[in-house]
Amino acid sequence: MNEQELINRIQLLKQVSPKEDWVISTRAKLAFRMEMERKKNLLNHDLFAFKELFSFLSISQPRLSFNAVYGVIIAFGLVLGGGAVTTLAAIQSSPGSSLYPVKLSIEKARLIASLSEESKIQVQTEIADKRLQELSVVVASQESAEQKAEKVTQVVDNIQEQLASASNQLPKVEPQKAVAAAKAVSEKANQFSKALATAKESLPSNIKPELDTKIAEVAETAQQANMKALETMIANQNSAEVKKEDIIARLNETIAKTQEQVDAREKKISEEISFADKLPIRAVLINQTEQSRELLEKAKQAILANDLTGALQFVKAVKAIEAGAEKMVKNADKAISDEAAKIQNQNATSSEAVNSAK
Amino acid sequence: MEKFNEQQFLEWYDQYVGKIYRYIYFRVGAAEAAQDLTSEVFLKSWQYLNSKGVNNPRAFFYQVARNLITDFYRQKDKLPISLEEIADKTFADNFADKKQEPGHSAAIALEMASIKKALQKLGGDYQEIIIWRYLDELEIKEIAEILGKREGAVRTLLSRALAELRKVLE
Repeated sequence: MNEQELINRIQLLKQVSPKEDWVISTRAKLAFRMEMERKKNLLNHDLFAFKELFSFLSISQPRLSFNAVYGVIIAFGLVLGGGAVTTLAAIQSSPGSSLYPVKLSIEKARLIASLSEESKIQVQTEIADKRLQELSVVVASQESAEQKAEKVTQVVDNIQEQLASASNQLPKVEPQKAVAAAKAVSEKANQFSKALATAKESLPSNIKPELDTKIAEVAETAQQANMKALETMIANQNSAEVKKEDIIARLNETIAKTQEQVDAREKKISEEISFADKLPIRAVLINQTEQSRELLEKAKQAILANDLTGALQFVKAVKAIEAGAEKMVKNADKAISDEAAKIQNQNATSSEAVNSAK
Repeated sequence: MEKFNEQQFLEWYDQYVGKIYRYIYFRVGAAEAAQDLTSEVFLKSWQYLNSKGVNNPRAFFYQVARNLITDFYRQKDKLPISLEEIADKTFADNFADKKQEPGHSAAIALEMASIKKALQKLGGDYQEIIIWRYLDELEIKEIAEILGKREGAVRTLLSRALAELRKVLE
């Protein structure tokens, strides 16, 4: 037995690891202890300030000053003593609650404590289900649009994080488990896309434009997660767990969706950017649309020829073109509004000139 | 010296808790005691390091763990439990939890049992250095820091520990 063989045998013992529940609960205890110490320090530090704050009372009513300071101490004591209850309450909390960020931290700890990529994805799927449930509760609630928007923002931020992280973990999952993980990620990505569309509809369009942007970003992340899942399935297409028909169905669905995006952009170019006929950007965008259509056609042909990897590459190329085109359309929108404002100003100046000439 | 805050300390916890637990587990021989001592390592380290800095948190955690293990045996008035005494049940539970294929799991368990038996015949210093170097993958420099020895001395100790382990295995 050479040295390397010996080391390999020793390293088998690496499989000894603590239980996940214990890792999580110890982390929570540690975090709680830290928070308590921080609060105690704050209390000590602020005690002098509190005394100063209530010092005016000591001039006329010394007993009241004493009571006020102790009242504050008791309040802090209650906050500090309520740690365990707080943790339980945090787990039950919903978006908008001050304990909601604590709940997200506890979930994060659980995720960190997951020992394999597969179990990480499993935990993420559970978290994703919770977010979907929270989102549907917020959307169905009778709260004001602003309150809703605030809560949706909180949930959407976390959804984006979960999706991006789950799809990034896909390539690290063991090949035999990768397909199941990819399917789970893809399913959640689709559910999120639908839930976000519903959430968007439930809010007035003028409320929180940044939320609109955020939802669009998450939809994009969901699409990317779907693409990674599809990529994982195609990479493992020879595995017994993958049905070729399933991949083909998913590819066709992706092609159809991408086709819809290309059509929508083309419509936008012809309707809204017609004003910008003179802008060279219009020619570029039209050219890109043609390219996208051509590539989508090639993707369909590749599927017919049973070249699923090739088909995926064509779809990815179209996605890249569309992402670039989308940015150009946004820039064009800005250029058009600037141009329109300029023309309006010119017209106003000309009318004033004509009026004054009259 | 690296300054840290609560968040940073929790990140260190996430990073090192598994390794510190494993080190303590092999030294004390019981999962429950290993859990208690590992919690204590992080709580004590936080109390000690709070508002101070630390150059090498990993080495610091191992030093605290080592001191706590010494205290553990001093208080309990007993000798370190050999690796052979580490309950096989704990190992069995641990691997049953992972839902591995039965054949694979059994083969690994056998191999692990054999290396455990060999390790338990080594002295405490040899056990410790092998765990640090090959399980926890500490650099020689870090081991030297924990043990307060020169790197050359650590290399010699490690080489002797490996030779002894090979001899026992063969």
